[in-house]
Amino acid sequence: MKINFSKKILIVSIGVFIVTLSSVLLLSGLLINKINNINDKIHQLQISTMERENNILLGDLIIGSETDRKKLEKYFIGPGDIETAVFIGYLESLAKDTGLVSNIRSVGYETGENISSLETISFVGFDFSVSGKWNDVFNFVKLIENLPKVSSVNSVSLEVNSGVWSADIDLSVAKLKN
Amino acid sequence: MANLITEKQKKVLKEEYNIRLISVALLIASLFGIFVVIYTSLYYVSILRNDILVSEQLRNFIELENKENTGKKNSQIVFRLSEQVKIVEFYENNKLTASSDFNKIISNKDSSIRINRLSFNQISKEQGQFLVSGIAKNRESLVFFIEKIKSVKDFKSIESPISDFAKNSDIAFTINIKTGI
Repeated sequence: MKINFSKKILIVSIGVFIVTLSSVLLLSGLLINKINNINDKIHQLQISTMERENNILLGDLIIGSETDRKKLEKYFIGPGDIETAVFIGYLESLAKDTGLVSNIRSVGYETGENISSLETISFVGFDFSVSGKWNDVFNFVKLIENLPKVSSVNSVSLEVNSGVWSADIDLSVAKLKN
Repeated sequence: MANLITEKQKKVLKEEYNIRLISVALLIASLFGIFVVIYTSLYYVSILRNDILVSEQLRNFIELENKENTGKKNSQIVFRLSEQVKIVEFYENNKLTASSDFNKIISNKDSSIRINRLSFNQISKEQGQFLVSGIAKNRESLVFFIEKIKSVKDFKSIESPISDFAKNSDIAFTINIKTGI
């Protein structure tokens, strides 16, 4: 069957049209995809810039609050064993200054559900006794209750033996973790 | 007017006309499409340049953030601070002071009561238990002392074994007191 000139032109036109249409669709798809991709990156960049600006502001606030943070940290036994040793020394000198004889029986980390949930703070238990005159022992108990630390007197027992008063104290003090 | 073209020829001509019309339309549409393809291609190339720029900026930004690590450092400090404040607040609001309660017990006794042991145990963060042991001169003075302690508002429950009252003089007694915030 012989195809005349007009039909040949029509076939060529259809071919060109299909190729052109496919190219338009393909390129449009690529373009839309690329635009979305760039928009996502710009959005991410905006969020990151905002976060960075906030972090810089927060950093400034953190630097500005350093003195107050240091004050707050003084309410805790500092991190490391040496700080615990310093605190034991403080308890002993407090007893000595009050005119009492002290005996630190045990020191250990406390455990418990509420305590273990804390990531940056632990609690140290001090089991110790002091002995001397009633007034001195009682004043020492008051001092221990009002230590400039985050602390709690779990138990205290005052007893007299041959006219000498003694106090057994179980004290728990918050300590910063390393 | 004489009809020089036959019906068959007319049909062929009309078909030929339609084919050419469609061909021209398709070619015009294709031409328009080619313009769109050229424009889109150029636009795509310029977009690619922007994409490279934005990607580079983002990469630099992430590298800088990873290098300085300010966000992580800051959030660690804030977390640490929040735990410290939480603990300070908790202990400040739930502090039991045994010495003030010891004072309340001692101030309610007279010379007929001799205390030889005072102890305090923290039962929970809100509740404490006191044990008072000593010697009372006689029953009346012990009863009077217990009644006076009972009148202290902060003491929630006061218990003393009835066996303490067996003797009439020099009674060794123990009083169990519970307090709560």
